Order: sequence, then structure tokens, then C-alpha cells
Amino acid sequence: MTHLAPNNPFIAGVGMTAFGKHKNRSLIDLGVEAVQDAIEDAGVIPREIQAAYCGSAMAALVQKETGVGQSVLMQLGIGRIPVVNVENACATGATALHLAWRDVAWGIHDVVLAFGVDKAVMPKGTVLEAGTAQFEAQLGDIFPGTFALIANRHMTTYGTTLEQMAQVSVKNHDNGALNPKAQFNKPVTLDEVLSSPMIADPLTLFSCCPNSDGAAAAIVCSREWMKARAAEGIEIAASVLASGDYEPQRDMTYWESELYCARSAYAAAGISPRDVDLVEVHDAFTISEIVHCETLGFCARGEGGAFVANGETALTGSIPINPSGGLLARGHPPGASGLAQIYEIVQQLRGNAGNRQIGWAEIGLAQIMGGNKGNDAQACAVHILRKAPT
Amino acid sequence: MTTKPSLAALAPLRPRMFRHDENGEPVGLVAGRCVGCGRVTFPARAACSHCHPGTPVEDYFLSTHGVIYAATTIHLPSALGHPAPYSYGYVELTEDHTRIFAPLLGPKGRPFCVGEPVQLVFFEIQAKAIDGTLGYGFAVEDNPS
Repeated sequence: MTHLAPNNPFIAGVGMTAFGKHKNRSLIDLGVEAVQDAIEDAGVIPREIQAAYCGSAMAALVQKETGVGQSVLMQLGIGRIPVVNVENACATGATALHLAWRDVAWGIHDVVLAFGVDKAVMPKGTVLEAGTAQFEAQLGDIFPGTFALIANRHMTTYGTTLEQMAQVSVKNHDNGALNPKAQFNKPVTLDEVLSSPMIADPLTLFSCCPNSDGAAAAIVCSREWMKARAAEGIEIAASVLASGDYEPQRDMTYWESELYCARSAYAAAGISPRDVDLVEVHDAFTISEIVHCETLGFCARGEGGAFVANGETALTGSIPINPSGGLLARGHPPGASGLAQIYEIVQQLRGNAGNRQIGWAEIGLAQIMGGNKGNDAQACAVHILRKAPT
Repeated sequence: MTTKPSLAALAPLRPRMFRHDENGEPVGLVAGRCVGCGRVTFPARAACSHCHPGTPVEDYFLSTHGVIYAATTIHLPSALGHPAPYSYGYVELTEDHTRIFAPLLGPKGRPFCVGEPVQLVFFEIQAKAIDGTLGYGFAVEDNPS
């Protein structure tokens, strides 16, 4: 299997809605806004788009809506082209991007749209019913619980503390306060995180990301298409999508699928973790970001808690992680989150991230994962974006 | 001596997941064991990921004693209606060289510790959406329920 593309595609443009509660807007309406935003940003004429991938993890389940991609694009007058609807749990948006990358990298198309949309805010007192046909769920498993078990193992094995985990939420809320598109724009204190209601021991409410409404989009294009428009652009230096290894006795303090994606992506991009300037990771729960710091190679295995607590991952730290606020503060519409990460990295690489701009940045990495089965994630994706001459 | 209520009439959580005695009462869990390399998976998988395609996976009865590998307690009801609080985790079955997902049972409010010995129990799953379903779990050994 190769992760090396014959031709590295570029990101021509990105778009996203604000994330949060969009009670009076439809799924389609949100999708339209994000795609329009990306089309304008890319300066692409809609009829230049040759294929589209639309991610939605929840639409079929929550809104009973199928064919979301076609419904959004019909609103924008985009027809005839192949449109594929994608579902890959929380990695759905990143999966749509990966498929667009494949099409352009192997020369099938020059301009491909990837977008993702979900309305996952649930009425008060109700819980998302995703994955409830799995036997683990029928025995009581819920998503926060899966991550609580990883936290339990990380604390037992490495001595990671409740305060270190809570610091992830504090840092990401600080960043979210600087992001006008984030769901939560208010900082939280360490004490507020620790004393918020217990969800899945040791994870409290503010240790868990919200279910959100929102959409995000990216337009992927060939180097040739980009070259005709600009001397420099943002190249997709690596796009790796993997599923789990499902080894029953594997060490549960990390995900094998993520390690595989990280190694493959660094190799494909020809870089090491030291070359990365900023990172967006799947911080669905505070412990996740600590594990991702380790597995992506920014600190040694077991040292993620101290790494976060020392401020290394803050906007001003040695490797800013989730400058957007991450899933914890930006919010998490599962179909869109993977593309919202790309949106943030593009803004940072362009120097357009406003008050949360980390300074000069050349290389950004996005990691996201979805689903849980047999001791690993069902889907994990790592993308590396880099400023490059066309 | 008290007699346990019968669980024989309950629908099993998954077909072929349980081993039953002559009265239909559950007595064990059925995993899959690769005839080639001996790896054990629960629930049984169709094929072994390490061996030549076509290598049979045979029924394998899991041991009824293990130790807690990881544990959590959930403090809100699940989407299916498991009433909170309730606990679950992964149980290491040392003899079988595998680890399985399992609800954890013990005295109310008592935390579960990594490394603690537990033993297999059966019960009707307490979740409104899936009434009448036979489930399994592991109980701490000082107070099997």
C-alpha cells in the first residue's frame, strides 16, 4: 500500500459556518453556507467542480435525511457531477477530504469539493443514539465511557492526573474564546472543569466535547489548476486514512490506528514531528489530546499530561495544539469537524487567524478519529498541509 | 439456600454468545479460537487476522475468572436506558490470553480497581429499549451478585 501521491493536490479554498446551535436552520442550509464560503474563497466557478464528497455522520439517523450531498449542491446549481455521501463516524469530514485527495492525486479530476455537515444538537434530556446496535452499547457502553477507560489506563500506567487532563479543556476554551466560529467563546477555569458534573469517571462534563450543528468545506485542486492562479498555495503533503487493528490485548493507552497514520503521513510528507508548526487533533475528550500529543510524536509516551500542563501546547507554546479551540470549544458536528480542522490550519498558514494566530507557520497537521471497536478506533485520519510553491 | 431466578427464557444478547446447561441456564461465554495460532476473540470473529485465509475459528469456552484491566462508572442514563450509575470496563482473561468488554458489578458506590479479581455473572440487561435480553458481566469476587 502506498500513501505517496503521484501529484500532491492543493487546497484551493475553505469555508465553514459558525459551530453551535442552529435551531432554525436546516442541515441543507448549513451545508450551502459552508460550500458557498469555500467556493468564494477558492475563486472557483461552480461548474469547474468535477466531483464532490459530502460527509454526514448523523443525518440519516437524526434528521432521517439521505443524499445530503446532492440536496446541498442542487441548491447551488451544481448537478451532473458524481456526488458521494460519506459516513465514517467522527472521522467523516476527514474521510471526505481523503477521497477528494485521492481523485486529484491520481489525476482523475482537477477540482473536487469535500464538505461535511451535521446537526447533532439534541433536545434537552435526550442522548444521541449512534451505534446503539453494537453489543457493547447494549451492555451500557457510551462514547465518554470508552475514553474514560483510556484515561483510567493512562492514569494507572503513567500517573497522569485529573488536573493535567482538565488543563486540556482550559487551554482549548481559552483558544475558543478567540475564535468567532467556535461554539464556546468563554474561558473555563481548572476548578470549573474538575467540579462540573461527572459523566464517565474520571471525565466530567467540561472534559467532553458538545454535540454541535455546523458545516465545513474544502476545495481540493491539482497543482496545475493552482499554478494558473497563484505562485504559492497550500499543498496536501499527506493524507492517510486507516481503520483499527482490533487486537484484544493491545495496550489501551494509545490507538494503533493513529500510530500507523502518523508514521505513514510523516513518511509521505518527508517530515518529522519537529517540523510541524501547529496541530488540530480529535479532542473529543480531554484524555484524547494527551494521547494524541504522544502518538503524533510531540512528546514521549506517558508524558502527554505534563507536556500539556507545562503549556507546550498553548498558542504560545512550542507546538500549539487546537488553536481553533478543538472539539471541546469549537464544537463537534461529527460530519464537519475533520474539515473544520483543515479550515483552521489553512487560516493559520495564511496568517489569517486573527487573535489566535500562532505566528509564522509553514506546516500544519490534522488528526481525527471515529468509532470504537475491539480496542481501537474504527477510522483514523491524518492530513499534513504545507505552504508550497505551485 | 436461595434459588436464583431462571434466566433461561431471556433472549441472548447475541446468538451463540452463551453456553447453556441442560435447563437452558447460561453457564459460560462462547468465544472464537483460531485453530492455527490459538488467538481468542470475543465475540467470535469469522476469521483470524494473523493466519492463512480459511483457517477455521472454533468455538471456545472462556474462563469464568479474570482481573479488571480498566474500569469506569457512568453517571447518566445511556441512550438505551441503562439507569445510572453503572459500571463497565475491560476484563483480562489471563488463561485465555484475551481481554473482553464487560459490565462490572459490585456493591453500590464501591470503586473498581485495576488488577482486581472478578468472576462471570449473568443477568437480565436493565435497559428499557432492550427488555428481556440476557447479558453478562463480571462481579467483584468478594461479593458476587
